[in-house]
Amino acid sequence: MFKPALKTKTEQLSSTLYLAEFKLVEPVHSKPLPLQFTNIWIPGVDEIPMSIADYEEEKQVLRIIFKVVGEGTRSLRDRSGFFGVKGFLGNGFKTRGHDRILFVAGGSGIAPLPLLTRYCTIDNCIVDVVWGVKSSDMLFNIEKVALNPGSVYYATEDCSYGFCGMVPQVLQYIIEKEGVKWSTIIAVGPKPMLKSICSTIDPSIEVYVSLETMVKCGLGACGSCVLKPLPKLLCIHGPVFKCNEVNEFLESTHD
Amino acid sequence: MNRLMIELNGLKLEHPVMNASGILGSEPEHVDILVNAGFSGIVTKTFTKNPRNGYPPPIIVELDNGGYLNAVGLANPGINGICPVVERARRHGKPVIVSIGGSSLSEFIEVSIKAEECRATAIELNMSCPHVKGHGLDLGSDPSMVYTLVKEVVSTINTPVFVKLGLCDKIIESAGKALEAGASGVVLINTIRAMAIDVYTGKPVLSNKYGGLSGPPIKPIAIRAVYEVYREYNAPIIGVGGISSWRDVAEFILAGARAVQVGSVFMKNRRIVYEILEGLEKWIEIHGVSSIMDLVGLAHRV
Repeated sequence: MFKPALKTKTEQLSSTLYLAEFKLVEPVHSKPLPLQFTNIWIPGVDEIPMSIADYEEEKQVLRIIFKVVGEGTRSLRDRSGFFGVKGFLGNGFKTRGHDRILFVAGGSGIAPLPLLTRYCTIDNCIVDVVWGVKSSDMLFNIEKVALNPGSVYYATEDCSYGFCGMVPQVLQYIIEKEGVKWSTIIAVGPKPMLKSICSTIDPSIEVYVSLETMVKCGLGACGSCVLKPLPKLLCIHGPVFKCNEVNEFLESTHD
Repeated sequence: MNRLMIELNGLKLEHPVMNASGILGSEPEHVDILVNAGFSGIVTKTFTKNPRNGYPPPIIVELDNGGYLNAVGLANPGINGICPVVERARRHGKPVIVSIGGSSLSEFIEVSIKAEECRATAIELNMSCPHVKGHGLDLGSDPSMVYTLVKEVVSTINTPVFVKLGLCDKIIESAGKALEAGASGVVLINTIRAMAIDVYTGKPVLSNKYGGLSGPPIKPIAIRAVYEVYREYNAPIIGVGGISSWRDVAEFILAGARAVQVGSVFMKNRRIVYEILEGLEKWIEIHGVSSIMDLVGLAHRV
């Protein structure tokens, strides 16, 4: 069954992004890794995959950051009361052994950052952030949601705030300017952004991408989230992959 | 010599463990995953004539008792999705059983012909889907309907036909009618019509409200069905329902199944097939037989 999740807060973070907080009211015996996801059940409406933005183990408080794109996410924003949480799903990312990570987000790809910085606070890694959006109204101060981030580079496509341009170009510029001081990049965002990053980044940096596809059951049975033409399922083998594990998917025209 | 090899009326498998229909099986990439997982034969998702989107999520939930409840709604790409899946399995050198669903005799026939054109090794008529009206259990629970449908399909194509039946009062009789009509064997059982309600929201959990129960809770029911059908007809049986270890497979074999299909446990353990085969090898050793076929139906000997 779904883990019962009582909504305790909804907050608008920017023109398009919202944060919702849930208290898991029954004992939970596992905790999510950064970049794992959960399928949130909105009773009578839908079950939608959501990146886990943050999780406080002692209090069993789960947070998600999301954009409203349809009936499901609208209900997620507007409804109160009980929801259901399936999982925690997917493989996630283990922070141990990574000392300086550059987290690169496009749009709502910023969502999993707080859980990543929470783990890094314990595992002594630094998380620097590049966050690009279309226009400045979609941004918010990430220190509002994330503990101890390192350097933060904001970017907008319309040049209304911070660095100017698309995420992959801004990222290239920052790496050229700062030098290769990161051993690890984690990129979260739309497929073209991930494809571009995978094909251009200095090969001395280990690049991980967190993918998005249609997830239905989340349990590895229905096969909706297959990463054609690869024999991999996002919900079992992902959502986090090294670039070379998913090149064929990133280059394909499938969604 | 491979002691785990089994044979079902001409359908030869390197070992008895196939996947159950509905665990992946609608796309070529799914076949790759199933082959890598070690299944001896690939059973496709149920194909219908036209593409179906299925139900909106939630479509599968795990229950607190270790079972699963699902109502996927026969989501599949339709008749044109069959050949790519069959071709992929053949490229891996694996037998492929195409599961076929329909709401009418003519639909079953049309999809069966397509499966034969695509060179399916066998077909499995899904006459037991518990959650799509007119597409399953209502057919399989009517023995005369089973007879007519199987007879028509068997006389139209040359590919071996297996019939998948679900729990109903007349399951033994329906199995008999399927065999009498020329089926190469029966597949017992499908998921069992069931429901779950979330006590916090007060709502049924599945979008379709009703679904099919699978996993360990249904195993004793499936064992009973296999045992009874074997006792009545001594026919080739593929056992399905709640298998989660080699012991469960052994139990199905003793009850009379020659092969099994595995579904729910695969969601928890992607290495389950290899673990089962290791257990079965030891089990055969203990019984001192040269082929697992020697153990089929042994529970019936007094």
